[in-house]
Parts: sequence; structure tokens; C-alpha cells
Amino acid sequence: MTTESKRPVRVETPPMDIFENADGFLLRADMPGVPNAGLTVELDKGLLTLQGDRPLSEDGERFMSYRRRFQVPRDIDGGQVTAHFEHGVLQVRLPRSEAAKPRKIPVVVG
Amino acid sequence: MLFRFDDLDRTFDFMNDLHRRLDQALAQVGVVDVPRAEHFGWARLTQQDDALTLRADLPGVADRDLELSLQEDVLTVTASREVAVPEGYEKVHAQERRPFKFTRSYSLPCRVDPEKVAARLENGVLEVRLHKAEAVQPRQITVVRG
Repeated sequence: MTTESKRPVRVETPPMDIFENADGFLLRADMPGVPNAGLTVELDKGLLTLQGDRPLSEDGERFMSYRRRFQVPRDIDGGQVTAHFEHGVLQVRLPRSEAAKPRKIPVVVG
Repeated sequence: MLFRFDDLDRTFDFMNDLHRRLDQALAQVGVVDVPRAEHFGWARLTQQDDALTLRADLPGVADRDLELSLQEDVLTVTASREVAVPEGYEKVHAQERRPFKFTRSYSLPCRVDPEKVAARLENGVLEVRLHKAEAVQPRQITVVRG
């Protein structure tokens, strides 16, 4: 969709779930009505942008945007971020880099 | 602090929520006049010459969690979704997405053809297209000149 240069009719903050464990974060956002081509997941200098452009007219000329931005922790491995879209829900996984994960160190006895 | 997870857009939540509530409140008393559309709570019904179209946002609802039925001119929608914390994630920073389970019946403004109902659920949006019964469709009447 060529919506980059156009402005949305309105911008809404989609409701989100944010979960964390030792391996990283899992985010979910409700973005009903957004086609796959209207989705943007971008991580730039630690700033994560989740955006979904929803067409409001048949030709897509009029559209609204769901948008949410986050400052993500430094230990997130940008190259390993994955996103998945199903039933109008965007799911993003932000894994920590291997070096940042907690590690069990075996103790040698003797 | 181990992590920083600031939500920069949090500030706008209040405004958005206020807008939503205002829209809903105005729609309920009929102040908002959406052309050729009626508000059915979360769903919208539009009328075409020969059809009615009901659209509703149902993010996170899978096909198996949706049921539709039509009896005379009453359309009933049953839908549900769960928003459980995924396994293995012990910290919950935000849980704004709400679970729901509801059954709602809509009294349609006219009789529809029960054989011609098409429903699809795409990207979390339900669209039900109902064809008006022949008897209520507008008809061209030829004027015979005498």
C-alpha cells in the first residue's frame, strides 16, 4: 500500500499486552482491519514502532493508523525480532541477545 | 533497574479513550449521523439498494469462536476470545486487551433472503452481507404512456 506519503485520517493507540521472561518480551496489539501490506514493525536505535494502516475507503486513499512506540531495553537483539499477524492481532517477539541471557555456571567441585 | 520499557504513547491513551467514549455516547443518543449507517454498539449496519451489510471489529476471534444465525429478520452473533498470559512469561507489564464472550441479536430493518447470506472474518473484522427479500427491494415501474 502506498500510504507512506499520505496522512492517516486519525491515529489510534491500540490496546496491547506486554509480557516478559528471561528470554525476552512478547507483545500483542489489536489491529483489526489491517491488511498484511499495511503493517510496519520497525526497530531503529532502540525505538520500536508498531503501526498498522487500515483502509477506510475501497481504494485505500482514506485510512487510519494504529500506532504504538516503545523504547526497548539495550539487551534486545534487533536481528532476532519476529512479528506475526493473525485474526487482526499483531504479535511481536523481542528476544534478548545471547550474551544478555541469564546463564547457569556449572560449579566444579574438587 | 534491569530494563526500561517506556511506553511513549501512553500519554495519548487517555485522549483516545475519551474520544471513543464520546463517540459511543453520541452514537447511542443519535447525535452522530453516520451517512447510511446505523450504530449497533460495536457493529455497524449499512444499507444498499438490495442488501444490508453488518461490519464488526472482532480482533483475536478465530473462525471456531464465532457463530452466526438468522431467524426471520433477527441476526444473532456469538463471539468470544481469550487473552491468557502465554506460558513461560512470568512478568506482565500491560494487559490492556480484554477477553470477551457475548451473544447479541440485531433486529434488521427489513426482511432478508435466508438463502443469500455471506459472512467472512478477515483480519479480525466480521462482514455479513444479507440480501434483502425480493418483496422489499426497490422496483422500477415502467410507466405506460397512453
